[in-house]
Amino acid sequence: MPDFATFAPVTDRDIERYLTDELDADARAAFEVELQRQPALQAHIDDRRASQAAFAQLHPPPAFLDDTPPRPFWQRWWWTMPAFAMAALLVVGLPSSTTGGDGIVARGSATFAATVTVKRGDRLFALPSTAPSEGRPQVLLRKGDALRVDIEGGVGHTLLLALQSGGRGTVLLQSDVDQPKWSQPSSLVLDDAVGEERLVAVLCDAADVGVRRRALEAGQVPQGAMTWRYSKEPQ
Amino acid sequence: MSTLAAKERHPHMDLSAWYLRYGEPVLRRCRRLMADDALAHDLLQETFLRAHKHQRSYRGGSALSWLLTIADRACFDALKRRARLPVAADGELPSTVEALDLWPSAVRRDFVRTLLSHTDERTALIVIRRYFDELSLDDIAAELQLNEKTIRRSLTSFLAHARTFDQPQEGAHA
Repeated sequence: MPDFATFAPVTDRDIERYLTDELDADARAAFEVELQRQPALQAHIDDRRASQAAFAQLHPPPAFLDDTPPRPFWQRWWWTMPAFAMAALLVVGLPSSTTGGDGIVARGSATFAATVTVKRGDRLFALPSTAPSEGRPQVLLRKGDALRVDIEGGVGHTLLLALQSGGRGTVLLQSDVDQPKWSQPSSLVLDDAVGEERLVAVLCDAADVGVRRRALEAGQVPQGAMTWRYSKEPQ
Repeated sequence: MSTLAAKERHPHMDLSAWYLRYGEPVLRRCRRLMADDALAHDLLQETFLRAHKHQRSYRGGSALSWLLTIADRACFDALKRRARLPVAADGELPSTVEALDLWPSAVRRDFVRTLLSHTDERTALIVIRRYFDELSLDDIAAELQLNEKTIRRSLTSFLAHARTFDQPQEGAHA
């Protein structure tokens, strides 16, 4: 071990192993001899145990840790490869009849692509879109995080943006999209409620706005909508 | 000191239990590397997100080492994003690894932390194990599955790189 170890011959990693019960019996006995010999080490261990207890009280394990881990992509998608190959052949062989782009198209809805950016302090990161029926959210957000939605496409349609949790929803925004690139005028700042939430964006014809609003308020995700799911952690 | 890792393996991974058991050491590691409490909390979450996503890559052995390595990589990525120029205490830089060993530990860690964002990931993992975990060269070699000569060479080149910053540079922290 290096001569500079603070509690030589005990290293910092030994301390972590001791505190997490990773030392075997011999090493543990040797460590405890050092505890007797070095009062400063004993005091340090006492402090660390207090920190561990505080951590366990203040930081419950995030919900996503109980989920089944995602399988590697080749395990998830290998069976779809023949279907993709067939689809690619069809696309090459048939004249295009869709509007194209990376967005979503569905009956009664517009084609669009949307991104959600999270601002936390001076940091920005993207919130990945998710399928409405996927398992528990993998993303943890917290009070004060500011979410901004940017839309591409869907000019001439009406955007509905809703926040859903517990089987109910609130429409946060209804706005006509009048330009190819549209940004939410003011960010959504998350409150201190803890739990899972889902942000839903859908573009629809003016005539369908009422139906879509009611669906969103009932906690449903209309066809063609994009969703972003996250958990909110306690402070 | 030997660990249970060599003799026993975790029968299965329970990340929620691991979070309670290893979360505090992981958070401590992130705090020490980032010197930023809020960012350290984010990186604790990031570490366990990565652990959850890549849990199939865990091959047994010390869960602490496995999680700290994930934390180191997450912190390294974060340090790269906010790369700062390193500044040594009193403007002096150690000429050798042995000279750095003589520095007070807190000063040495501050110095190493600022330099981490300017190195490659493998060197960062070696340096963190040396100067934060206080591991011997052969322990580092065993944990990272590298030979001792490589460890020594990496530490030396890490310091050599530090010396390239030994001139006043615009934007350096006072």
